[in-house]
Amino acid sequence: MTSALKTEYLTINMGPQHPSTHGVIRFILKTDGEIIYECDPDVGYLHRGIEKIAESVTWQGFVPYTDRVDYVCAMNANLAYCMAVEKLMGIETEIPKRAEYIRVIVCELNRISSHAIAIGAADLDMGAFTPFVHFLREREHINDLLEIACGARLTYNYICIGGVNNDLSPTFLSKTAEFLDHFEVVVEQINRLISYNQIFIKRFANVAVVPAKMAIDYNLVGPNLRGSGVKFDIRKDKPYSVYPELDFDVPIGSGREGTLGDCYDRYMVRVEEIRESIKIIRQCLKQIPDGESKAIVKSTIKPPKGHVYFRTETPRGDTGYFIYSDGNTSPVRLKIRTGSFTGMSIIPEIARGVFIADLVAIIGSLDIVAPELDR
Amino acid sequence: MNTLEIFEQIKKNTDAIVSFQEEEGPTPSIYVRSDWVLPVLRYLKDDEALDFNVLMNHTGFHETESSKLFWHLFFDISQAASGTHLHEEIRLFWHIYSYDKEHRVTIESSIPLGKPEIDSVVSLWKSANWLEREVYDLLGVIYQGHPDLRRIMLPEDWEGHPLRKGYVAPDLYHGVDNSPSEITKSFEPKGKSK
Repeated sequence: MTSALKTEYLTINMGPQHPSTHGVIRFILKTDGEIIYECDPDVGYLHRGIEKIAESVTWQGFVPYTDRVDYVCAMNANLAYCMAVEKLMGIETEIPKRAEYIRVIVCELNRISSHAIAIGAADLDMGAFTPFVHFLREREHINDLLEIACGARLTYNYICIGGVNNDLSPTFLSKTAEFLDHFEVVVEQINRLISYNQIFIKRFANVAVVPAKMAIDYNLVGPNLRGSGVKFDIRKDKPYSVYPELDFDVPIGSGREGTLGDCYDRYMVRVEEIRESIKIIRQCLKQIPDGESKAIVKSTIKPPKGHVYFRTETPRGDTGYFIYSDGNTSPVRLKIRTGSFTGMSIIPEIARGVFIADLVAIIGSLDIVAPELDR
Repeated sequence: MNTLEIFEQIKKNTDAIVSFQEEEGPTPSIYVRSDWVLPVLRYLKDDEALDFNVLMNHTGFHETESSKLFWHLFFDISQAASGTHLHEEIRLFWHIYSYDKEHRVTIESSIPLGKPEIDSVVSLWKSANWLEREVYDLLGVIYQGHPDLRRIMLPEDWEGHPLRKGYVAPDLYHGVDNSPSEITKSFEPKGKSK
């Protein structure tokens, strides 16, 4: 037996229908045994042409479509679009204070439910089924609350250009306060169940390390960027709405169980952001003023000619709406720059040299949502 | 630094052909002639006082004759166009930001529809790779020097670029009938035909 064993790369297909890809995403993997040598993500299976649709609907008529861009945090997507249009129209200072507070409350509730799904799904991909079910149960409470607010459970169409569609009831406010007291305890329980679990930590720590420089180069945003140790949150650094009046911290990754910027850091940033969101909502419930919940906006909107690029912080990070208007009843061009898109573009680089099973951990820790990626 | 100060810096330190745009909308921008885009963006990234380390967004759209812009008064950018699409052009936007200096700027440019070619900026920011692939896919802009220019959203054998104005979707794709049904047609306004 003198001659060496003959080896060659094996190209295998993963997806589009794969349980761990959270939607339809396909990967073409070139593997060397069990190690990934090259990973080529093939996206676009959920491309619905939402940007093209925007060119033929009215300005208000596009709001329900933003729900479908990212259905896990539809409220934040509504806000991102409506604030961009308000900026273009020059009415961002006319929004009533109460409407701004309502927007922040519902968006932060939606952020909690989105992060709950992100954390739960990451656990599920690693083989821990129980936390996912617990988080789904808690998310039901948030869906119930938002149903009280606007009647819908997933695609809300609640935030509109000029404010919110209808005022919040006192029931909503008292029930939200009750929920926060209950949920704060649950987060710690689930942390004890999974986040501090040594088996889980061993699975996530030191996997797919993204240094800060690489994260910036690939334009990672939101929790993925902060997981690499860059302290940047649009709510804090380029504040919009009433965020300047609220007191909250920006959690960043610290490499507590391994290297700075690994999967576990990105995961823990989300856990800590849930706590910060609870803090924000509590302050809002205390400070919310009385008054109107919607500014008077004409039924036919014709923003002046020009372009705007407006960024807001959604659960998947900095979501930017680029809008070009020529002064007509629908946009000439609307482009949605989402966090999942840039999060996906870094995968070929960080997936090289990891196990195939770790690719699942990478997708889970980057919190990629396929409809937001493809639009 | 605000956009005007950045514009002054570019004007002072490079020979690029640029102009300052503030009439359009709430955000002012800097217009750069298309052959100067890569040098100007490289200057903005490498200069220590400017230090634009992230490309937030890159996009473009198809501009038709009806929405002609005022800078045609200053530059004759249509002269490079070949053939019939003399005034139709693709306008491109780069939104860049600096995490350290905390300032942002919008750079814009335009290229003729007949010859939609521009230099790629993948050598400056890696995030440009997928953003440029998307613009190529949906608008048909050819990026010179892009390492991997292929379609991203649509299938590889798709014809045409959907975000161009006047694009008509194919009626048949791999045996799948996509033509509008009788019911859909009945909703079309009368007297308006494609």
